[in-house]
Amino acid sequence: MKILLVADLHYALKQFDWLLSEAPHYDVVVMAGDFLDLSSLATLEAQIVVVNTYLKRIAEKTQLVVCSGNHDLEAEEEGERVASWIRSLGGTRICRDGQHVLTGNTLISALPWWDGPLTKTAVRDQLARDAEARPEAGSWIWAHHAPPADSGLSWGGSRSYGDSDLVQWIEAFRPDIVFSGHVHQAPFISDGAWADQISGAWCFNMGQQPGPIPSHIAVSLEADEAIWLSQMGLSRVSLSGHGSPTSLDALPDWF
Amino acid sequence: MTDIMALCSRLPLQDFAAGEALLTEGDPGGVLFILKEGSVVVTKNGAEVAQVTEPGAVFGEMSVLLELPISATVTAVSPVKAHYCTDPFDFFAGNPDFSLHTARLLASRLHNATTYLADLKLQFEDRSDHFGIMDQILGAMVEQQPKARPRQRRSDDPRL
Repeated sequence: MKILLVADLHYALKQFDWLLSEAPHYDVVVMAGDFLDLSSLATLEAQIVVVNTYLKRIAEKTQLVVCSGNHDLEAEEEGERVASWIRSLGGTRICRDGQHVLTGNTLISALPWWDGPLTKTAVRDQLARDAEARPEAGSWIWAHHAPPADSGLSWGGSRSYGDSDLVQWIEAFRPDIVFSGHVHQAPFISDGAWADQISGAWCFNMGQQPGPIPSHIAVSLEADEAIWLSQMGLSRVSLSGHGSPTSLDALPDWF
Repeated sequence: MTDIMALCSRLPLQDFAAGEALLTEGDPGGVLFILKEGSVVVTKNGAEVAQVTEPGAVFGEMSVLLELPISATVTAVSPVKAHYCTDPFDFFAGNPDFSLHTARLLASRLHNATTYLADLKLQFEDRSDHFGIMDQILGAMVEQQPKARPRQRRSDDPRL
């Protein structure tokens, strides 16, 4: 199974165009939040129509998994900001906030951005439910916008912008892989990282870069390998090992 | 936000079964519908452009105000209750709050479309590939219904 991870597209339409053209080459595309851009000239309402159109088109090409980020919260329910537009996404090949999808023997859970105790409890409850659906011999992957706290994945240069609850959830539920975004600069700065192992789970943040191609991570579960493609070059990590990422001169055969 | 349902409470109600059309693209129009409960899908040239579930959503107003045929088909996807108004100009004249609500609705759609285009111009100064779906996006945008804005983000969230 070949999985593509992006996040933090922030209404960069050329990056959405790139994703649309790349999607058919992957079994699953994971978009880990921050679809919208709060500082855009376009209103959030307009952005939501545009992004919805892209998501439906991507889901026509492959299985799509989407989770909300802090820029995606356009509504308020019971005192908490929520991404109701993501929860309203329909379609058989879109797995969104609060849902999971089983592809082969890989379970993928889409977890919403939590703005308060109600959504945080809902995430915890979802993980407990999804753990029951976890295949005995297979992988469990999470899509969660904020990366784990106190990791290079969430290092912003002066402090961590990560989620300490996520660290506890990883420890409690032991997923195999966690896909995040949120901290744009983390993979590009000193003491930052695009891959980190926490309680046995490989956690990723591909970071954000300008231009028509978003920085992204491709994973082959068969090859047990993840690669990071960005303006910094090419880097890899073995999912079955415990080593640090190493740079690559050429793309692997599976890619 | 205006309590649109209270403003429409004296208008008669009509029930629609799932699959039944409230409005059909190309028909003469001249009638307003205000969604009370249920879910509808809006289609244009056979393509779905929006699903609407918000009570108070207004349909048929463009056709009424511009005296044009109905621009999109609105079909119930669940049992639907909708207020209807067959004399909309009298209703507008006698209900300034409803008229103001409709004006805001139209203004917000226009604002969305124009900000979208303004941003598009910025992002695509050098390329044209996104323009292939611009008509589809505009089609969906004009069917949007306004929603209440959430409060400002939390100031005590260490992740922000």
